[in-house]
Amino acid sequence: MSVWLSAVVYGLSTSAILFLVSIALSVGYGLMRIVNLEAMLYYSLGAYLTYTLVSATGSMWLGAFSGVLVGAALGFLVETQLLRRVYGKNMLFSMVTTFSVYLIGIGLIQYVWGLNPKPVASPTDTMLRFLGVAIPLYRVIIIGIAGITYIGFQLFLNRTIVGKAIRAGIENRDHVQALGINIYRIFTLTFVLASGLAGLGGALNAPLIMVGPYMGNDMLLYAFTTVILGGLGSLKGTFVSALILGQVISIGGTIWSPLSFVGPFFVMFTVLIFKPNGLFGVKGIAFGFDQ
Amino acid sequence: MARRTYEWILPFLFTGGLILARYLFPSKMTFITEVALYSLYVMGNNILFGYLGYVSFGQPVYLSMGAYSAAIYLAYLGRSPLTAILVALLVGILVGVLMGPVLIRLRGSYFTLVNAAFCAIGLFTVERLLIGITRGNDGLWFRTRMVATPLLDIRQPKNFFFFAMFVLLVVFLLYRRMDRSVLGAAFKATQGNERRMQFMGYDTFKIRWLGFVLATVLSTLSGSLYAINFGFVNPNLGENSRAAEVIVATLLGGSGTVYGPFFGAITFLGIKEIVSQWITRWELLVGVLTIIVLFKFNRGVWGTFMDLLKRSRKTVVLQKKTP
Amino acid sequence: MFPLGERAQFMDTSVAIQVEHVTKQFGDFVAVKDVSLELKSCDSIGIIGPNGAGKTTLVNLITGYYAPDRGSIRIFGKEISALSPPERVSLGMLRTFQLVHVFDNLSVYENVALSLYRRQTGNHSILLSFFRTLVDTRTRERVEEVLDLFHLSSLEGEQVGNLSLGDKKKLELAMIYVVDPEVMILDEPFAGLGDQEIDEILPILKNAVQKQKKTMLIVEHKLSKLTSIVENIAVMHEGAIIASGPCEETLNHPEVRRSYWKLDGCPDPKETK
Repeated sequence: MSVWLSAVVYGLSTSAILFLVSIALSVGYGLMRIVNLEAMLYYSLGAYLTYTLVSATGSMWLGAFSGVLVGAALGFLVETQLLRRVYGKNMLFSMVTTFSVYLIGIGLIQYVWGLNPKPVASPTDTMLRFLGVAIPLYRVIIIGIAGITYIGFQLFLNRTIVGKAIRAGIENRDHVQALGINIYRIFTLTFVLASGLAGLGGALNAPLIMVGPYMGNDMLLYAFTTVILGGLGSLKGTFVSALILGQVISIGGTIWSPLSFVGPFFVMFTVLIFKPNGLFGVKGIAFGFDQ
Repeated sequence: MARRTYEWILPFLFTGGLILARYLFPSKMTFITEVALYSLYVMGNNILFGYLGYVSFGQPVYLSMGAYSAAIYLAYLGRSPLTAILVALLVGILVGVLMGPVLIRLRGSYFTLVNAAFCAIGLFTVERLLIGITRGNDGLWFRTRMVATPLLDIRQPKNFFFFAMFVLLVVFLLYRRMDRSVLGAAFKATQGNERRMQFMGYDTFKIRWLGFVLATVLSTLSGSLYAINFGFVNPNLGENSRAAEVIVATLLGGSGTVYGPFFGAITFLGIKEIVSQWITRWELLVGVLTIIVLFKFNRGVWGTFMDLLKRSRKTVVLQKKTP
Repeated sequence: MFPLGERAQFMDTSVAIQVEHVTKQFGDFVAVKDVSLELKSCDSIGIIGPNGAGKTTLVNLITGYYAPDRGSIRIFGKEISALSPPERVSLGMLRTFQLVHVFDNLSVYENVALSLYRRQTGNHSILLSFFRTLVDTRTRERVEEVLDLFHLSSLEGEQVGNLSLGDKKKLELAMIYVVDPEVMILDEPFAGLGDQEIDEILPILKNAVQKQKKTMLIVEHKLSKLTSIVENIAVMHEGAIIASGPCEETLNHPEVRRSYWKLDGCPDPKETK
C-alpha cells in the first residue's frame, strides 16, 4: 500500500514537471502553428543555471528564478529574430528551425559545462509523513507550483484581455487580427511566457535527476508525448495528459521498471490509433488538412 | 530536350566518380564507402521529406533496424552477408507495411513526433530491453562469423567498397526510374495538393504508404550495409539525437531531387570529416548548418546546380532568338 | 474508358445524379436543407443563388468532401454516401473547386497527364505506376490536344506555381476535361477570370454540353454566361432549392423573383405592358 501511495506522489511530481515543460509546445502549436522544440533548450538551461547557482550560492530558488529569466529572455530573442520568419510557412520549417536552435544550444552547453552529468542538491530534505508514508517535501512543493501555474494560466487566459486574445487566437487567428490586435505582440508574449515556464520546469527538475547535456532529449520525447496525447493546442488536454503520464511513468515503473520509459509511448500510440487528434485535440487545428 | 537524352549517364558518372576518387585518394576509402551507404539512407529520407513532405525525427530507428536485423542474423542464425542484407530488406518491407498505416495517417507534426518516440523505443529496446541478444552498449560482434561471398569476398574492405558502389548504382537507377515514373509525380502531387489528388481519383493513403515503405526499405538496406562493413553494431547508429543529421543532409543536397541525397551525403560527411578534427561533439555545427541551409540555401547543392543550368540554358535560348 | 467491370455495377445509367432529401448542418447552421435534385445523363444544370445559399456545400456533398447528415445521393443509381472521394471518381464524376486546386510543384503537362493517367489505368494504379511514365505517346498526344484546346500549350513545361490565377483555373478545367468524365461538376469556373479567358473557355464548355452531350453541373454567378451553356437551372436560397427547370422559365418563377432578384411585390415588367 505504502509503495503505491508514494508512487502516486512521485507520479504527481513528474506530471508537474511534464506540464510545465509541455506548455511551450502546446501553446506554441495552438497559437502560432509552430512546433516549438527549442523549449527543451530552456529546460536544460534552467537546470544548468540551477546547478551553477546552487554550487555558488547554495540557493536553489535563485537558480529557479534565473532559469525562468534566461528562458524568457532567450525565448524573446529566438521568437523575434528567427521564428518571425517561419510563421505561416510549412510546419517543417518551424520544426527543423527550432530543433536546430536546440542543437546549437546543446553544443554550447557542452562547451560551458562539459559532458559529465552534474548532481544538484535538493533545497530541502524534509520528509512529510502522510498515512504512514514518508513523502519528500520538495516533491510536494513542485506539485504545488505546477498547480498554481495551471490555475494562474487559466485565470490569465479567461480573465485578462490579453489572455482572451490568446484564446481567440488559438481558435481563429484572423478574428484577432480583425479586432485590431497586433497578433505578433501576442505571439511574442506567449512565447516568452512559455519559454520561462520551460526554464522553471528544468530548474525544478534539476535536484530530481542528473543534469546532463542530453537531458533535453528525453524530456523532448516526454513533452511530445504529453502534448500529442492531450491534443496539440489544448491547455486542458496538456494538463490532463501530464497527470496521466506521470502516473504511467511512476506506477508503471513500480510494476516493471522498463515501463517507466516506454509506458508513455505505448499509451500515446494506443490513444492515437483510436483518436488521431489526441484526447482533447481539435480536429481542424491538429490535422492541418484544410489549411 | 537534349539534356534528357544524356541524363541516364549521371548515375554511372557519379558512381564512377566515387571509384575514381578512391584511387586518387586511397587513404579516404572508408570515407568514400560511407558516402555511398549514407546516400542510400538520405535517399530514403528524401522520399519522405522531399517527395511526400513528411519530416521524420525517427529515421535512425529504421537504419538501426536494418543494421540489427542483419547483425542478429549473422551473429546467431546464418553466416552469409548477402542473406543478411536480404533479411534486412524483408524486415524493412515488413516494418513499412505494418507500421505504415499507423504512422502515415498521422499528419504533419504528429508524424514527426511519433516517429521520434518510436526511435526512442527502438534505442531503448536494443540498449536495454533485448540486451541478452543485442549485447547493449558493448555492441554485437560478428565479423568472424561471416563467410566469403561468391564472386567478391565482401568481408574485405577493399571488396566491400566495390560492392557498395554496385548497390549505390542499382539504387540510383531505380531511384531515377521512380522520379520519372508516374509514382514520382504522384508523390509530389500528393505533397502539393492532396485534395486535388483525391478528387482526381487517387487513393492518396496508399501513395503515402508506399512512399513510407520505400523510405523504410532504403534505410534498412543502408543499415545492413553499415553493419556488414563494420563487422559489428552498437546502439549508436539509432540514437535519436542524430535524427536531425539525415534531414540536414537531405536539405544540403537539395530535397525532392534524384541526385540531391548523393550530394547531400558527400557535403554533409565532408564537413563532418573536416570539422571532427577539431571538435568531437558537433551538434552545434549541425544546428548552425541546418539554419543556414534552410533560410539561405534551401535548394541545396544539386538544386542550385540545376537552377544555374536552367538559367544558362534560358539565356542561350534568348541569345538564339535575338539575331 | 473505364474497365467494364466498374461500369457493369451501375444499375441505372439514365439518371446521372440523384439527390434525395439531403440535409447538412454545421453546428447550428443548416447549410443544405432537405434538397432534392435530379440530373439525367447528358443533361446539364446550373445552380445559382446568393452567397451562402449552400451551392458549394451541395457540390461538396455530391463529390464526397463531407457526408450528408440525412438523405441519399446516388450516382448512376449507386448510393454513394459511404464512398470516399476517389471511389466516387471511379464512377466517372470529376469536379473543380471554387478556390483553385492544382499541383503547384509540378509542370502544367504533368498536372494534366497525372489526371489522365488515373483514368487510363483504372483502380489498381499505384504499384504499377512505378513502371509507367507520363510521357508515352498516347498520353502525350491527348494531353497536348487538350492543352491546345485550352490555350495552354505555350506553358506546357512551366511550373504551375508560377502561373496566373486565370491560367490555373483553366488548367484545373483542362485536368478534368482531359479524362472525358461522364459527369463534370464545376464550382464557379469563371470566378477570377478575365473576359478574354472566359471567352476561351465558354465555347469548350458549350461544345461539351451541346455537341458531346456531357452531363454537367455548374455553380456560377455570371448568369448570362451560365445560361448560354446549360439547359436547366436550379435556384438555391438559404440552403433550399426554391425553383428548378429550364432556364427561362425558372428565372421568371415568382419565388425566384422574390428571393433571388429581390423583386419583392414588383409586378413583372412583361405583364404590365
